[in-house]
Amino acid sequence: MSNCKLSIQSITKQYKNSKSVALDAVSVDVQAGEFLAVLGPSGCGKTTLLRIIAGLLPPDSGKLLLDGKDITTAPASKRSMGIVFQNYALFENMTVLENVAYAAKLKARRDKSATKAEVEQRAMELLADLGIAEYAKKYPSSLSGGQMQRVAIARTLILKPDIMLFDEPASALDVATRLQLRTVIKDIQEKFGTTMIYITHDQEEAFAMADRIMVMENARISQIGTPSEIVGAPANEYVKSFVVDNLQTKIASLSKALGADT
Amino acid sequence: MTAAIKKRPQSGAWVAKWTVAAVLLCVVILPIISMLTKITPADIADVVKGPNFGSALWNSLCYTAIATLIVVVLAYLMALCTTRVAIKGKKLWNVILILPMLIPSISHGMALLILFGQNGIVKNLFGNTIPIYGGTGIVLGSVMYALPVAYIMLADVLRYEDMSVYEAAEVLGIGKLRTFLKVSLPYLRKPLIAAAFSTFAMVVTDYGVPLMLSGAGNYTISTLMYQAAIDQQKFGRGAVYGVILLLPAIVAFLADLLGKERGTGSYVKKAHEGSNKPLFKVLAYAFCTLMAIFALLPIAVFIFLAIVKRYPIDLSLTADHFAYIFRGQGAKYLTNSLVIALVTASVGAALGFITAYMTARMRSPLSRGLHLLAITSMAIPGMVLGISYVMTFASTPIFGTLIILVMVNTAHFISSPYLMMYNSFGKMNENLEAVGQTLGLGRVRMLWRVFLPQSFGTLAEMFSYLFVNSMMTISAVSFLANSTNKPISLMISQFNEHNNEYVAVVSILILVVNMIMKLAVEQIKAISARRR
Repeated sequence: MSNCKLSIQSITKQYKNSKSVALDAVSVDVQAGEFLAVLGPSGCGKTTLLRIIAGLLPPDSGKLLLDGKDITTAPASKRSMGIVFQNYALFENMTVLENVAYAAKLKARRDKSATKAEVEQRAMELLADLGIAEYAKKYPSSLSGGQMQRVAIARTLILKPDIMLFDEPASALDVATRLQLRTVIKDIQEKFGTTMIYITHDQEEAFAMADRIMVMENARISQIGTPSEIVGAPANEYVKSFVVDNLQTKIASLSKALGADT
Repeated sequence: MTAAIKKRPQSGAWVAKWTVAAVLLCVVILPIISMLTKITPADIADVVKGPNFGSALWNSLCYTAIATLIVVVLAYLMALCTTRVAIKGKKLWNVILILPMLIPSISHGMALLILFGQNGIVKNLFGNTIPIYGGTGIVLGSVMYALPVAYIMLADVLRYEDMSVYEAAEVLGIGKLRTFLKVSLPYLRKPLIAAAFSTFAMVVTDYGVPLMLSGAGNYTISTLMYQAAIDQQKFGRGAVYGVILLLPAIVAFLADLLGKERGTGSYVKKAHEGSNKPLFKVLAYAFCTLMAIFALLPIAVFIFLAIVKRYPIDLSLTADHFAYIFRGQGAKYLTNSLVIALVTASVGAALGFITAYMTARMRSPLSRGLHLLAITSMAIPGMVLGISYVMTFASTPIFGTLIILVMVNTAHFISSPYLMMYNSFGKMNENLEAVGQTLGLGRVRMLWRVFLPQSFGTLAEMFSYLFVNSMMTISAVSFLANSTNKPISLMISQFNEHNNEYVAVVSILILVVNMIMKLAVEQIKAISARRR
């Protein structure tokens, strides 16, 4: 495939104290600029896959190619990837601005690419893009969950990553904030053309955001396809019940409520 | 196609962990092993056949058991008053109730003598006194200085008990007594056992109180050990007594280890607001007042004796006693104590911080071993550690210097501050390292710029714990001090009932220094909390 950004080839992982495999020969090609949602219940291996892609965990076997280059053993800092976690993992001793600018300042100093002021200005622009410029001087503990998650996103964005990885970033947020965050992330994808891999257990979220969805069960891929492909032709009984039936239940309950309204 | 992936080498972390492990081995484990190997069968025979061995063993067990029972009951009641009843001035009560922790055990023993002894204040005022020598005095003195420790343990547990369980019980119509039996007690069982065991270990290994109050013939194992090792310089025999004292301490350690559930991230959904029932409030005020008097009595006595000329002959105010202490060796020994306490606190806090980082944030099989090693010193009584140091380091150049006192104090007190930091690291976001790696921030930089700044409060707490304990300890140091490196706490045993105004002065000096440290740390914590 000509437009392949990240090629995941037969990645296998088994944790030391576990009898079953966490990932069983998982392969997928992620296209440049694509939004890939990885959907599955807890324990299906999706977070393990994300950590292996990010370079936080070595796979037992298999290969990762970024733009055709083998990065299987490259350290996390050399992969040009950013990661956003469910629990934000902000630096609580730093202000919002420092959180965003800190790593970029060090990088700029190392390769003499920008001055401190320039980095800070870029950080401020990002904060403005994400609608949290007014909190620049605040400490994370005074922010709401949605605001903290925007800071975490800005902190990875400033290093201009090729791929952004999301580990259930919206799971700790209330419904309204969750919907806002979706828009924020989709806007970023559009504006910067960043490839995104988004882990979730929420079918609706996956369908609302993703270009393609990869459904996982028990360390394996059940199906990869566009939302309409998956709804149109679920690969097996599991995909049908976990994804399609679940969505239909939601739609049914919603239309019932709306129907009663009119 | 599956190619095996080589793991990136982690040699730096491995070397760092082994270095810390080696340091802990050298200051905690090796001296104990060396002591054990130097005990001869003759030593054991001498001890077991000694004329007072049987009665001392019995006394130690009885006095300690009774003191432990009293301490746990009083500590629990005190904790109930300050956590479950809406009394005013909780902060002040807390400060007063823990004050006795800031002076050496031997001071409490001396205070009882001054109050109830044959020439004591009570005798002077009322013409009669209670028999303070022997069991009564030893139990009373032990309760006085062990009570604050048990109180802190239990108050902490009660404070963090989740009250939504009680609301659920109420909604379900479960009666008060049943709720207490089925909810409160099971929740408290482990903390109560842990408090009982650590009180027992603390009391049975203390020699300060019984040394002052044993009177004629009321020996305990700890006073026999003191006699053998310090008065007679028979270290082999002392070590045998040490092994006997090591046993309850190890049991307490294991009980504590098993009692602690992994990851005490118990999240308080609803804290207790404190009962507002007038009856409870009256009872709580009365009980707290009683306990406060009990806590403040020795301190009040010391202040009184330290500033009057000669009780009961001349009650005019004077600064002579302070002058006397400073004219003698007091200034030098106080300086020694301050140097020892400051260096121990710095070294211990740094060692605790680094060790906790390795065990809490760089998990591997090696870090589990390191964790055990770091908490082992809790199981070793100060007296035992002290005698093991004599038997191991007596011929080295550090013997008789301040360095060995810093070493022994660090080894003696490292476990608690280590655990403070370990728990604090455990509560920090588990993804910080992952974020650091993807952002290109190395371990050292993350440690320096993220973990360290977030740990200031805990570090201050660790520093204060190490400092205060080094200031007041009389256990390990008593075997290692001479006239040049002596800390001020050891001056107390130089004096006796007839010049107890000097004991008062020394106790007050230690108390004041420790209070200043505690206040300073509270300030630092408040400032670092405000910054976020």
